[in-house]
Amino acid sequence: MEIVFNKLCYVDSSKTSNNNVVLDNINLIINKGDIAAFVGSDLSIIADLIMVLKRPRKGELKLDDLVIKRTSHINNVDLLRKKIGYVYVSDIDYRQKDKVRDLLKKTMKNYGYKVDNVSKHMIDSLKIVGLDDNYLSREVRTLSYTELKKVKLASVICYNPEVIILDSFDSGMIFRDKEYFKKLFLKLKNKFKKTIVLINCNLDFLFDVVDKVYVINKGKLVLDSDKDIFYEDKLYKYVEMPNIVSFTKYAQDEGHLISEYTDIKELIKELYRNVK
Amino acid sequence: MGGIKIKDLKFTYNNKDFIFKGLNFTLRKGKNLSIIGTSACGKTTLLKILNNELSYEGFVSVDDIEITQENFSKLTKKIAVVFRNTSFINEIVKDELRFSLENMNLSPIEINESIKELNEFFGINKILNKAIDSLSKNDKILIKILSYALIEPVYLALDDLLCELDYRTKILLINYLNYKNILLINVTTKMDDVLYTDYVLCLYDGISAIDGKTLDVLENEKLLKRLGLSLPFFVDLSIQLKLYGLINKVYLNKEAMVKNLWK
Repeated sequence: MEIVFNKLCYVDSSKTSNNNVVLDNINLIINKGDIAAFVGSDLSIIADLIMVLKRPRKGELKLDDLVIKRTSHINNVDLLRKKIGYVYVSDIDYRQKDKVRDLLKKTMKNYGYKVDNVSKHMIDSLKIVGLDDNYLSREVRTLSYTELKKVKLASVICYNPEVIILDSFDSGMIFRDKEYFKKLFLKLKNKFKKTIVLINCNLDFLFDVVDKVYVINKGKLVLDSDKDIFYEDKLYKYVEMPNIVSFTKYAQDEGHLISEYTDIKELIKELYRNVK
Repeated sequence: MGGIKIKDLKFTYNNKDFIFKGLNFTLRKGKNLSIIGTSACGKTTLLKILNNELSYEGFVSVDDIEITQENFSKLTKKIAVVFRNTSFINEIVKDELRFSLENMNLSPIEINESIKELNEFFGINKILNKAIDSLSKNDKILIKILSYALIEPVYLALDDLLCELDYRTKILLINYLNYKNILLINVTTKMDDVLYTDYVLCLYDGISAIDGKTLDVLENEKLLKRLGLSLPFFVDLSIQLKLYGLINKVYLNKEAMVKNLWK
């Protein structure tokens, strides 16, 4: 699915007038099969708009041929949402007494899957996110934060959407889990042509996986670039510089000719060659 | 003696799978602690036990007070725990902060002084009268933490929340806790953050995989990486460069690292 933001504005009426413009004249295109990242603070609105949970105040959002404006009528919004999966953890999840099996079954039934096929699908979906079938009998509220995220991703994968949106997905994850999901996202993109939208993730999670990076600051799209942006100073006017970038830039400023890396192993090889 | 003592802690949610299988750990009085470990290893559960929310087998004490239902009121002054899903009581920031102070039976003058002090530290004047729902994620987390820090417990435990703050806010908070002599217990998945504490406890399979002074624990690189954890960037870089003989100790910042690499 191609996603186009065309002169899109969104105003949050619950906020005071001096900071209520959340998105201001945003123009961008997320190509089908890309992994795109939105960098900035509090950008969950992007997911709400793509899921058609909220509407643009001005401008339009295009999902393939479907144009969504402030007042446009959308036929069969459920069919549209079946094509899009949204992974996030809310406070309600922590109180959810349902078992994981019920959560997955409910989602699949909502999207029209026949009950006969449900079990295998559920187990396969859990396996994809690195969980075994023992999780089916666990109550959602007893899961750890990371397990909860994995289950929520499984609940999206089980209905096989074209687009997967993940909000703050890497937060609370240890290194091994992050590496696992980077590989999974690349597989979903390359093998299954999924479009993946990452929102509010840390830069070190994005380094190896993204095709496009959109930086939004105070509602404006201030940078729109490919992954080379991670080496550019202009990015770090808006987000915290990762230690590996900060180190290489400092060494360069001190007059040492080293290249820029986002992988510590490559940096170490370069340092060995350079310092030795 | 004081500090935190955990002896032969056993705990299960379902009488079948034990989250803790006899955990032993001691944190000396006056020390900060990071709790790390694999996913679902019991980090949050340990905080729930310290917060007197769960019945357990074994012995757990904070500053020599055993964690039991009978000691509930004594313990509230010793330890406060902020979880990811801790909710707000009030709608407005100022009310939320005042609520904590009013529960301590402080006079209105004392309450105003405390909030003024907070403002001097964090510059929160412009958000004091705002609705909590309208705050940025960073400010929401800060207010959530501050509403507990205001109680001035001996220990403030954070469940993977410090890593959600931007760098500036994080440093301000660490400075504030130091200024108030509040000790931090920081459950974290962001390994760079363990450098803010004196001690580290690494949980794995119901027991302590390793614990001790922060740098001593971090130098057990192979064990930590086998558990799927990373190292703080400068510790990792130092350890690898030491192996190549390019430096001879761990440097924790870019300035020291560059100076000693190209000397």
